[in-house]
Amino acid sequence: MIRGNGALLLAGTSKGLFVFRSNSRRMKWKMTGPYFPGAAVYHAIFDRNSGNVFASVKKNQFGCLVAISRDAGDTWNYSPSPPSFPRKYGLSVENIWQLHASSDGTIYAGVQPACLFKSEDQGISWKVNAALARHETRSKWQPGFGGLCFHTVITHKDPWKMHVAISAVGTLFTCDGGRSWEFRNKGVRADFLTEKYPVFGQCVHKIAVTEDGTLFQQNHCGVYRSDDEGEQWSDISSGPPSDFGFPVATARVGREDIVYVAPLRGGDCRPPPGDQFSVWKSHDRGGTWDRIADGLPRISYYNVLRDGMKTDNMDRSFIYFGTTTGQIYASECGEELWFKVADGLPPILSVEACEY
Amino acid sequence: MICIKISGQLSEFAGGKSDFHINSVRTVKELISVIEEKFPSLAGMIADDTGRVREFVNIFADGIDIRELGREQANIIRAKEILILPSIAGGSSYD
Repeated sequence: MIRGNGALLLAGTSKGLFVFRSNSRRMKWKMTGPYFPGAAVYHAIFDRNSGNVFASVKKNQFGCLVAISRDAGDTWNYSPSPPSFPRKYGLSVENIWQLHASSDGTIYAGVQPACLFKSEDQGISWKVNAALARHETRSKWQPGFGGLCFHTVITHKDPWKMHVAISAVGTLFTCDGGRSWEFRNKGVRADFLTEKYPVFGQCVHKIAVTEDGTLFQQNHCGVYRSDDEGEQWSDISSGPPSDFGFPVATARVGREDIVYVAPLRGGDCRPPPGDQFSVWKSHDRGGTWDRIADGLPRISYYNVLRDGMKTDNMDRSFIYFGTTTGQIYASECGEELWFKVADGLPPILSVEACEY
Repeated sequence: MICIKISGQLSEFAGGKSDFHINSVRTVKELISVIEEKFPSLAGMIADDTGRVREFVNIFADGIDIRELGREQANIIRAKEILILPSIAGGSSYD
């Protein structure tokens, strides 16, 4: 397990990966990159077990790759055998939306069309999850506007349990290490379907989890919390000016968990409410919400995408968001004062930050 | 033998080479299989997981676009040179 005295911030953009390093105060950042210039980097992660960094790289005219760095982003090699479907499935990986490192050293990749791959050799080879690739409902899965994207992987202390999320299919759960999957969408609305509470078909945008296992979900149709591993979800949308948005993040500060969302006007019109992008936070698990906008431009029309807002889970947690117009802002959790880490980057697809 | 020439963007997936030789193959499908054995990542750049040549990849057999010859089923047994290039593509929302 890597425990350093600095911080690492990975920003995946539409034109490459940018790597930022700072000391534990995290007020000043040094940038390197772009790595993979011209390629879209949908997600990059740091595996604290191995110290390796992984990035999903989508070449414009070509396919998708997983890149691996063993020196925190200075040099890279491509996985010699990236995630790909065996011919018998008749599917082809169009994009790698999500990478995830579990505590046991397994690396997961969530791809489009929706499926899960796992690597037990630090990204060298990948194996498709057959139970999802052949799920009995798969023929009825409908893509969201971003495609049939598998964008969330949450592993737990119990290595057999995992939550995953797909747009616009919903949340699935396994308790047998991925051999079988069940939907966990009770209580989540699908306003765009004739049946408001279907078994699946919900447009989940992102899920975040707290240390105690509480799940928070930003959906196309609301913000939700589940206290029972997703068996039942409760609508906690009242407070923010819109129940629509993409990212959701959590942080542990002292003895309480804070949940963050970034509302946008929903439907076909997606600028920030009030013509100013702001983050909203709740200290009471979604009961009440406060707006966090100090330090942000008074007028702004950018968005933050589903993986564009994360916390670093360091001793004093910071929260970061990267915008579709190339800025990165950060704030100490609980301090509510944003400062700019970077500007002038390409549209930001994802951020991840951690101790390094 | 066929000489395979690839664009600079692809050479990093072929050990830094911009061209290499393989034994004659009957079809583009077979060509992709042979490339997959030699350079797996390069094959993944040229064709998708089902073996279909990617939309924005152009393959020319002795100067003729394989789309005119039957795509993956194109008969290229007499070809001396295969040229693999990305399409000219622009205007996406991220450009």
